[in-house]
Amino acid sequence: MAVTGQSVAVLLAPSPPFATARKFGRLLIASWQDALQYRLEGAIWFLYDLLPPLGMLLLWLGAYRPGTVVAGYDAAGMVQYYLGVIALRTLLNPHPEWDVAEKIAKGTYAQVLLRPMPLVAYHLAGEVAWKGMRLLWLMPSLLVCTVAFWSYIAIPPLGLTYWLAFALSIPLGYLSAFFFKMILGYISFWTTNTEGIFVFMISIEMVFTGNFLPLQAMPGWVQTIGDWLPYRYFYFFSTQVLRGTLDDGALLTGLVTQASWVLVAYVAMRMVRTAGIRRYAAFGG
Amino acid sequence: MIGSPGAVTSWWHPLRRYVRLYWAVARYCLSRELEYRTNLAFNLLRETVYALLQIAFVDIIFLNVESIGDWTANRMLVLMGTYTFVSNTTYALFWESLTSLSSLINTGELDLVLTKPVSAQFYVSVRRIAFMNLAPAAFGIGIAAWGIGRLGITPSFLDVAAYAVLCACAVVTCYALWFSSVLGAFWAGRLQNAGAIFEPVVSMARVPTTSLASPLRLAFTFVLPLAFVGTVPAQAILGIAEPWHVPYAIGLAGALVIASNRLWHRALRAYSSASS
Repeated sequence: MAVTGQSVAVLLAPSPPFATARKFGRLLIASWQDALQYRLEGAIWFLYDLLPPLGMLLLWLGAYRPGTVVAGYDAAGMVQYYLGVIALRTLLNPHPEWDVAEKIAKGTYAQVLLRPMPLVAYHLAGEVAWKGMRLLWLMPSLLVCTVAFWSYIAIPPLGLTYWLAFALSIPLGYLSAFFFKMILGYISFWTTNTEGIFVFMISIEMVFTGNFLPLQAMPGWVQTIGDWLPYRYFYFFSTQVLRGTLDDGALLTGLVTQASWVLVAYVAMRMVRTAGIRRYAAFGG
Repeated sequence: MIGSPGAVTSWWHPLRRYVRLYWAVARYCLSRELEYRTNLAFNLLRETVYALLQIAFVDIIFLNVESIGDWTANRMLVLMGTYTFVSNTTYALFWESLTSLSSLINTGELDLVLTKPVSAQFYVSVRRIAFMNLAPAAFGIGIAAWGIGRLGITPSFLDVAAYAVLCACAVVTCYALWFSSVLGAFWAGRLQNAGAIFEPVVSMARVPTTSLASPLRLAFTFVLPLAFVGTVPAQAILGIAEPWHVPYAIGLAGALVIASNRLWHRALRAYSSASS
């Protein structure tokens, strides 16, 4: 099925908001049931969020001596940083690109395009439901980690401004990651061999999101490159808000930059998607 | 009768058949990968960059601290190189086969495997070889050698032999643990990512177990023996391994392979074909 310019406009036409919300809710429930049925698969993917940062944390703890401070983190700060990374990465790092790429490669993305709801809502519902399942695996794991690292744990004495900023940074971080991953997925309109690209991009992401190391501990030139990329706003910024070391100006700048990345990613995603659909040819019914 | 020419023939004959089969699989996989050379080159680059990144992360830690436990930066190079070698050799030999096992179970294609006149466990474990992972494996050995060079030590012949045996045992141990974990797909219904469980778990082997608190160190040595994947082989080439490490590693690898075989047969009893 070759898609013409006119049909692209029809496919991407907006749906009424209430109808979309209702469909989103239904799809969320269906996806949740799917995630619940395949909970063991979710558990295995969760290990990718849990174990690599936990391994890095154990490395750091082996390196700390009494009084050691690394890039502004003492041992307790480092433990709290990695526990924050585990929690936030599990909840805020979506992976829609694999599903998008698979559907495009198999030709079944045509069915998604023909569904009477916005594409973003369709993919978002599935992702959010699976994140709910990850939350079920995350809670007991965090509990075990908290008990294991109890002597390092302290609730930061943060003011209301910080908690508000943290609450705002969560959806902004998630949406920026989601839209960028969607762009990655849409690369499949041009090439079917996307697995290598995705894995390579995960490596890049690991560096600049602070998943393996706090960005402050990186060499200066890596930090400079990271300043020009969106990755630090996926969830690293949220960890920094929770540390309470940012002043009001830095909080505001961070949130505005995060919102800007969401906007940039969304616009870029729509452009890539429109261009991709124009050249998309699907097979099968 | 043991010791007679007939006894030698009786064990060598089936072994030769498996060696020839494995050789055929290797040639097929290599020719398949060479058919898409650009793809192979990109994958080689990707895997090497990924291995490089893992080592760079640890190196960056040493920009900030002097040692991890009693592991200095150069010793850690040896450990990371060893870990990179062992993990990537395991990936090269088993990744594609074990990650596709759950698909064989779910689609019923396992029926076809079970009717073949070879050990089914052998066949499902080695039917694909990912040559692209041999590049980072070689890179790992290079890193370990570099670390040894920077330490200014010359390992004795015994140290090198112990290192080679421990690395081989580590690959076998990884295989047995990985294979056993994938068998969960027989009972779990759909578990398409069963093969993916190994990667995040084995990543913990980068941590020098001697730097851990006692409970974790014991757990990583005797319960989930990741110490024998990174720390112990690295200790051997550095000349600081314990005398019991080599015989224990050999026994452990053998016991785990036997256990994985028992589990495989038990899993097969739970298998009901999905094909028509």
